[in-house]
Amino acid sequence: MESLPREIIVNILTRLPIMSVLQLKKVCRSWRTFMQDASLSTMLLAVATERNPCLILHHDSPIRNQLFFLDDDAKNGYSKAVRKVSLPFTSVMPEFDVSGSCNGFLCLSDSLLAETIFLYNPFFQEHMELPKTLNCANHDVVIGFGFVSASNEYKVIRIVYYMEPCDRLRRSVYQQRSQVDLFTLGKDHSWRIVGSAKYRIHRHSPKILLNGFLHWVVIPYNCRPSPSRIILAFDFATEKFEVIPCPRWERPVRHTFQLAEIQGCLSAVVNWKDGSIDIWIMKEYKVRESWMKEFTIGNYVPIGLNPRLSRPIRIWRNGMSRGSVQVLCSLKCGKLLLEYENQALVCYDPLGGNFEEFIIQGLPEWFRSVVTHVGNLLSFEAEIVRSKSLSGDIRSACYS
Amino acid sequence: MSTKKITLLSSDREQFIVDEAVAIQSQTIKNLIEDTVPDEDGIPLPVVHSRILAKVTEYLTKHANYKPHNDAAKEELKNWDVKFLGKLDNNTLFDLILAANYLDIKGLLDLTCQAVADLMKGMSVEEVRKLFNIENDFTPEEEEAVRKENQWAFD
Repeated sequence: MESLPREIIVNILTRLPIMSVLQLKKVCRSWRTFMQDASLSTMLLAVATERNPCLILHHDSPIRNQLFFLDDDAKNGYSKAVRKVSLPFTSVMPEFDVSGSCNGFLCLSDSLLAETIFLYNPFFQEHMELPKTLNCANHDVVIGFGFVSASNEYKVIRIVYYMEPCDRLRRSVYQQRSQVDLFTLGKDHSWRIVGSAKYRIHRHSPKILLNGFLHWVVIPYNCRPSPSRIILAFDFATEKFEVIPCPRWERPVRHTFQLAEIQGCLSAVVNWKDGSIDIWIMKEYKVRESWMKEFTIGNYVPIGLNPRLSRPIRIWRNGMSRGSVQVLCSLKCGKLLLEYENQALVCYDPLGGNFEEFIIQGLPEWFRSVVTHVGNLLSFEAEIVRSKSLSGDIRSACYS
Repeated sequence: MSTKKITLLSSDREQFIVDEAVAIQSQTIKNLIEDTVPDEDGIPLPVVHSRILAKVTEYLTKHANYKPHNDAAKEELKNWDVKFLGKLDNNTLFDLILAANYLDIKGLLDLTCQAVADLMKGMSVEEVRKLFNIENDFTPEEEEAVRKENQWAFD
């Protein structure tokens, strides 16, 4: 490799699954350094958009949760076996939610109170705990993770909902309040209050990170008793919320819908009672007229489904009604990756209308969630340094 | 109709005569034709040996004459690429990457880089060292440290 120019080596390595790149650290000293070089990771992220995402499966087995990794080989598709990801912080946080995945970093928060939050790159084996703040059991906390590409900043949003007496005279009458906090990696030493949230986001509301915005499906306060959901987005750059227009549904959607990223666009997935699903795609971001119903997928029951599976019930969780089919992502070949009943992964081909079930060794019996993930070997430090150099550039540009 | 011929000169001064349409798939050759006064013997490519230039021109000739219009034709070309790669030993493959990089032929560079990536995928660490002619310079302690860094992925 020493005889090959650096850009060629990068060209070759970006064609390898992340697991193979990781193995190369064992070759020799210079390769070990090279595999952790920020320039390689930047390239891995750049080509990630041309590849299928890797998957992280969250198995919320009682007492100690687990994560499983499913690698994608750009040429041959997904690997036939999952790997159990090591979690160096399980003694502190045995049960958690996967609150987000961005550029190879995972954001995990403890599933009970969301007091403890870790950022973690499983491929760099680096984790970082965010500052804790006093919390109270009857608070409801929503955590989200995002990235501002212009400044290369990673931010975690925390929305805390709590009840407070309306006024001194009527102490028994409570009113819901909220506080929105932000934490910027490498910049903030503690949480920063940025305001309050006008909308009630549930902790397990469907959400998706896209174009630097984190999107949730929420019910506006003033719409009861017949609530129709809206899409709320938080812009990590301006640190403000905005409402994204919904599709003009063909028939009323009274229950919640899912969000997904399909072909790089924000998408809404409606699960119907008969088991079929409609997929709407917003071709042009934030343009209501551009919403198109792109796919309708008929009822399908995967063979691998175990109808008698008993999953642990979590009484403290705000159970959001959740469709039995989730659209995880679109694949580069035009197919869609679906998840059924928290148990089976299925590839759907819209052209032929056929389903192909994944047969994967070591797949847990059920998974709480599946997140799409980009594998890279970036360290938090490298990303912080880059963000500081960018802000330095901006400053010097202002003075010149 | 006669097409314009271009003479390419390898590092060991062997001449390769090809159609201009074939040659200009290489951005570097295209620039050389436009910008420089040619050598009497042809366009000199001082870093490409005749052994490799023969392979490069074989690839370029096939790809210039074969513009796929449908899926069957694309498939045929793909099969040709696979056969083309199959005939190469690893040293030639690496030299071909360097040539494709120097001559700026994107298709050939993609093809050969992918071929090396495919080779590496199933390889053990020892096999990768052999492929790239690298000596293991880790001390046993360092080797253990690397293994521990990502134990979950290695076991």
